Amino acid sequence: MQRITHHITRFPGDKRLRGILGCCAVVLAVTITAFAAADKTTIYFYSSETSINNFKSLKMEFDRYLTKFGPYELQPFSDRESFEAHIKGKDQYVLLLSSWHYSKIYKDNALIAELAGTRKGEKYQRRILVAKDDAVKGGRIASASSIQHTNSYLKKMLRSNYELVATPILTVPKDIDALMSVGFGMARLALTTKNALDELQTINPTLYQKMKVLAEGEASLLLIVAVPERFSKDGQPLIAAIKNMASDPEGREKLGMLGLDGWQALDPSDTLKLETQ
Amino acid sequence: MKLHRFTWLIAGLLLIYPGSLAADKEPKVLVINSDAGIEKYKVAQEEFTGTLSRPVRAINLDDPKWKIADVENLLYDEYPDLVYCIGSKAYLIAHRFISEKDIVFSSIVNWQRFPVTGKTYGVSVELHSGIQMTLFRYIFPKVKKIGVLYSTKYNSEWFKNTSTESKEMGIEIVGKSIAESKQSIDALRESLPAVDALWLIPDPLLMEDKDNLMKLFKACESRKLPVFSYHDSFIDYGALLVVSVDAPTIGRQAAGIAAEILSDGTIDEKVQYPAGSHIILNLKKVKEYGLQYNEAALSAVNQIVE
Repeated sequence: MQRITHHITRFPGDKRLRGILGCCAVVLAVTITAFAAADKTTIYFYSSETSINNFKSLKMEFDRYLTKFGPYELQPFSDRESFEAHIKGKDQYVLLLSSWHYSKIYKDNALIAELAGTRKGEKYQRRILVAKDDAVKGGRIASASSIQHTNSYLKKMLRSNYELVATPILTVPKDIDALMSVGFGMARLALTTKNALDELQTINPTLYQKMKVLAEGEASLLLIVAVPERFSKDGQPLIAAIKNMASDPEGREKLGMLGLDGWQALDPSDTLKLETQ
Repeated sequence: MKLHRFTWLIAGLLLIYPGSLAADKEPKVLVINSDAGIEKYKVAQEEFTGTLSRPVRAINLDDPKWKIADVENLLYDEYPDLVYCIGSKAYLIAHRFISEKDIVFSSIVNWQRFPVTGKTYGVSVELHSGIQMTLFRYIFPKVKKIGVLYSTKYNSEWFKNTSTESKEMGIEIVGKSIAESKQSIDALRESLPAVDALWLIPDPLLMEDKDNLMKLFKACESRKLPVFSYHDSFIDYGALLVVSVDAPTIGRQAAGIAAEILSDGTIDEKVQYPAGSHIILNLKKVKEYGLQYNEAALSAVNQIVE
């Protein structure tokens, strides 16, 4: 814009004409900028399931990658309230959120689930409650999920025994942190994933052998890609770009930052599970 | 008329009295922050107050209005049931004036050098070495031999314990002890051919000479030897992987300890290791060195340098 105005100020002739041209240039530049911003589609990301907090890197890497496919950007959120407040009243967006969170807000926001993340080809995961001592009756629980999400899981997982175990929750950044908190004495129990426990078997077999699985939850879908119904058709190019990430080495690397290795479309049984979760 | 007024007065007092009794029973919690201008200290305080869900009074020692005498007056006037001290300055003040009270600390380097009582609790500043090694393995599953330079004066016990733990994980720690900082380059040269990475630990002898530290990083760089370290600042020096403590988790952990103390619960460990990790990975260097890494572990990395 500076360049345009610079040329206009050097325009020979009438001062009034220069003024008019200058105004036109400013209006044009502002309009172009406004349209460019308005046309940008944002992927809003919040996961109640894992405390992914590498937001700066995540935004940078995803924005760089998505720009290749269109005017797209990622906007991560660290808390549920801000995330939900931000999408309210908007039409043109894509969401990345946990299946549990989707089931809580899909009706109010008229959302459609398009894809589910995969890990080792599986789109479902299981939450487990582990401890070093299988006779443990309570104590601090380490979890990488939000407190609301953790409580919801524990209630489902433990049913009548929930009150017995319902003790303080220590939110840690990652599932592997939750496991190590139990292993190294910072918590008595950990709510984590079966996948994280399998990883522990490879990286620290001695610690793995000390872990006892006390309870296992129902299988739930991994991260969900959802869109508002009104944007379902227009959002397809972006959904396709997300879906194809796994077939591109750079895209796979970005997916790794979400703890995923691919995306799969949902079949009717997935949708039913998701909506009755 | 007089009798009527008196009845109202009594009724009013009866209404207020149980409330004031309840207010007296609410334990007083004070946070003393050594310097709230330091991001990690600020975050720990925010998470502590947010997690504890009780009224908390907080003071920042970096604020010029808080002279020692004023803090002393505050401590005796308030006489809190529990104090959360962030940083060593805060801890020393609380311990000096009200050591008879429950004190929870965090963000203190080498806390063992400070006086403690039976009512001292805390979260140490360094991750358990087993956690660090597990995370090294998580990102780089093929790493088998890790070199460590350490001084016998400060870290012989640490080295002994870590070596034992590493064997259980299938990692071999190749250690070289040094008596002075200058020996580190020679020690590195001796251990270099045998190791997959160098683990730079917070050994005071290694850290005392900045120039020597720079030489150490350069020597590793020239041989494409990855350096794993414990502090974010080493990324700028050329560290490939930094596994450090997650500051928000420290605040939440301290709040958990405080809540357990205030509810007369049992505390398993009075001074605990931090439960949360913060990982920085220099992916540019990983590719430059031609190293294989676990792509699935990238979700655990907080910051990627490219």
